[in-house]
Amino acid sequence: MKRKTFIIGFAIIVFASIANAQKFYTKSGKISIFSTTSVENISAANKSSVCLLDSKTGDLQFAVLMKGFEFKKAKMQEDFNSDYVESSKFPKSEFKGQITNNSTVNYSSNGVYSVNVKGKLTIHGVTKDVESTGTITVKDGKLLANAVFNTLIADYNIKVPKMYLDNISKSIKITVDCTLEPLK
Amino acid sequence: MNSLLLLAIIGLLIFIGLLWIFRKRKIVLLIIVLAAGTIGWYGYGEYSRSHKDLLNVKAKYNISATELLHEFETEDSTITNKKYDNQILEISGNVKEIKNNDQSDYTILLGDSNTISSIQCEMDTSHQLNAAELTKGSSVKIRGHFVGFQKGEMMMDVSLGSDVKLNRCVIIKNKK
Repeated sequence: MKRKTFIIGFAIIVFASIANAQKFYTKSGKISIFSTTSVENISAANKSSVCLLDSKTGDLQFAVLMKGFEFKKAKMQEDFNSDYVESSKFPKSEFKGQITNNSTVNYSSNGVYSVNVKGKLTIHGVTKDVESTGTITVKDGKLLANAVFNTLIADYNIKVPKMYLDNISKSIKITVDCTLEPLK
Repeated sequence: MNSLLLLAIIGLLIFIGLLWIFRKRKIVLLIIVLAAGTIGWYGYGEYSRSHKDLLNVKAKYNISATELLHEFETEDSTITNKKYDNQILEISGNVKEIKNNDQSDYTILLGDSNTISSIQCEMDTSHQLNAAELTKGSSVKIRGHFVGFQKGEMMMDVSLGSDVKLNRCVIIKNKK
């Protein structure tokens, strides 16, 4: 009898510790922004985004330093930081949300799962509700999180100088591409 | 400085005006063409200017990974952020971790292996392969562009540690 209790107790501890290892994270996630107009295409990528995902609840968070976006053209990067998103005043952008169909993702079995994500995105000090579809790819204990969605510059109170109105799209495509590891 | 420039421009305009009045119109046209050319050339240069390869840029600050982290963790981060804003830093430290993603973008973490915080260096796209040659635990010198300090805050009850982030990193010296 004592032995049985011990085994059950042991099993609970083991399961509890497995259940604890349900958070996945990265500090070097890639988030790209893309603007396309008839005049030019502009893209920039941030390769040091922080992302945390709780596989049990589906909670999902991102934190990005705006100064980490790399543009090909140096002048664009400087203008982006000083005039558009005002990185010194608003250094960080954040997303806090949830995977709404989290129960359909089997985090312990390799595969590609489509997910719906809903939450609040804060850029340039303005918080808006956003919703997007994406995929979670489970691959040998790691997760690949991918999503593509569009945001309107005007929603986040970002002003584009008149001179560049034709060069910069009103709608910016945001691409999320993160490889998450289990958090120990 | 700006008022001086304004004065110079006003002076030049008066000079051009006088030339115009005294019928030296060819000279005036020449000056205008030259000015437009210079502005256009400068503008195009600015527009298409790309980032410099940091191998050819001198660092403003030379500091060890632990010292830099300590500075950010103990001092007011708004002041420290301002001090290093947009600067090129040369960091010496131990390679804590080498990470690469599917697109083979390399990230090097520098710092003590027993702390969660680190200096996070995103390698320059044209120097990715040098990162592949690094070994964990070796000491290295990396030059990079300061992005910012991401303070460790609780996200969903866990702390991911604080990080100083650099991008466009190049490896200067790799001591075994």
